Amino acid sequence: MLNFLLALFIAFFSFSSAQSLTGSRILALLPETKIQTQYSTFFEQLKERNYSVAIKAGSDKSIELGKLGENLYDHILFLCPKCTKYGKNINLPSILKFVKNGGNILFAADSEMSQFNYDLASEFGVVFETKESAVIDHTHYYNVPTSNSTIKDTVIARNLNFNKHILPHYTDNKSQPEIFFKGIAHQFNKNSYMNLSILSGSLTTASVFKASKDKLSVIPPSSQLSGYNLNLVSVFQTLNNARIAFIGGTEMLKDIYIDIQKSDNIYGNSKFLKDLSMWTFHESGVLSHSSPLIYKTLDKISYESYQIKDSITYQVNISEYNQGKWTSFAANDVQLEIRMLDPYIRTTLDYTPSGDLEFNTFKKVITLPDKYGVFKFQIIYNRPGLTWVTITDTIPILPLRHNQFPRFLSQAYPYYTSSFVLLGGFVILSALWIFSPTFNK
Amino acid sequence: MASSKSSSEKNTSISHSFMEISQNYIQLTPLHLKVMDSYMILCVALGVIQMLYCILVGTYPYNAFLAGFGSAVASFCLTANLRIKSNPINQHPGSQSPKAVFAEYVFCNFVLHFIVMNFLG
Repeated sequence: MLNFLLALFIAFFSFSSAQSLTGSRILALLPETKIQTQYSTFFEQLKERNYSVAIKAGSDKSIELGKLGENLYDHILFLCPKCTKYGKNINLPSILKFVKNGGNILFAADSEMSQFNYDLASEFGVVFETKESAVIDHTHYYNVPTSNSTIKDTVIARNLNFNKHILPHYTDNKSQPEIFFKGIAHQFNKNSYMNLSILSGSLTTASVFKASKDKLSVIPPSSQLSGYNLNLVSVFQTLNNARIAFIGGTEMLKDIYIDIQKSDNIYGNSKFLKDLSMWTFHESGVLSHSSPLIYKTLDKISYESYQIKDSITYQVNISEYNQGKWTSFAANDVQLEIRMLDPYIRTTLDYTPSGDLEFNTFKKVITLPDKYGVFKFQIIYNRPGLTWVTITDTIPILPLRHNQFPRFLSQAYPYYTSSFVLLGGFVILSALWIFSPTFNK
Repeated sequence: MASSKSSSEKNTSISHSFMEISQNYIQLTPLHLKVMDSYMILCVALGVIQMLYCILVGTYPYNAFLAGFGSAVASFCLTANLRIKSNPINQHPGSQSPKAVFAEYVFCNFVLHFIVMNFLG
């Protein structure tokens, strides 16, 4: 009976809790709350994944991101590019604090965007094009039937990042991507390993000024983003693994754009948004690891310190949270470093597929370096699309004790013999000196 | 012809002087110096053999090599010292007594072989 109740209890909780690892509370900031009907498909997607979405107008004075140093929400959707400010006390520092506490953000920009939103994006190294600019494409475009605009600013973007952790439905099924986008382009420092482009333009995509609603200016914006450099959607992961997704236009989240392409064989807006929001809200690409097990290969016992040239085994379990469940993580590039300022040993760990288990065991038998000192056993595994993993253990490696050196080596016998022969010679010489009457007369 | 004759004369004179030296050595050198000389030759031979062995086999038990080679060199030096001091030619009224010389030799050898045994590993 008790077991049954317990099972029921667990079932209830597993049903009610969201798939996200960080929490289920979403704050959606819109220009007006009634606009939420335009995003109904997207919000429905989120609610299906057990999120509780609080939809508020950007100007709502009651909005608070945190209280007493704790976040009141786990994720924020910024869907109000025109908002010059949010709520009453929300400024850049409070949003950054939200991120530092581990909150995730999905940020949508647009051609008309307030300075506050520009500043918010630039905090994460993302620079949107100047105001009133738009992304156009004269070859891959779509005429939205409802609008009478002649501008080809609804771009069909196909240049997706082939990252299986961020876009699993795209990489697994190899389906044809067809993502409808309307909005503004952005860029970031290419050397930044925190930023990652998800959707970028094709060769024929360009960013231009929008002079009026129906006409395009001939003057391109100062930065002249075009082609593959032009980012439509990108993501950012902070050092504490909070994730921020930047989307160049609110339009692609709306029902009308999602409804254009509903075929199951094509990777359209709906699937893309699902993958992107799942990754951003920590439902995919999150790594977890056990504390590493380091033991002597010979007796399988962990010691506080080891000796030079000891054979040890390093072992760590890594699992990946992928689309709402823990799975075994498989990779051939998990690298262990044994370093004392310089790496003395740098080796990749091997794993054997564990089958049904939720983790894979990464393991390597290592012969420690012939050098004593305090060493760091370190795995730094930073890969795009996954949370940053750093596993560090500090372990001293001791020299051999004076009685642990090998003795009576066969190759040293000539030296032993010589020493004893000379000693014997000395004894004979002394004996002759003392006892022989013919000596030293 | 003349030159070959003179060279054969030279050869005979060199071999003659060698003969003379060796005969003088055998006849005039006291027995205890001869024993010491043979011990010193043994030291040199063992030192050379160990050096060659080390070059051929490698320095791996380096402490053992140092002990063996060092003991050969040091034994040679100590014995040479004893030989000089106990040679009757070098004896004059102010010199050390043979017993003191021998005691010194024994003490030095004790220290030497103590170190060698420790180093041998």
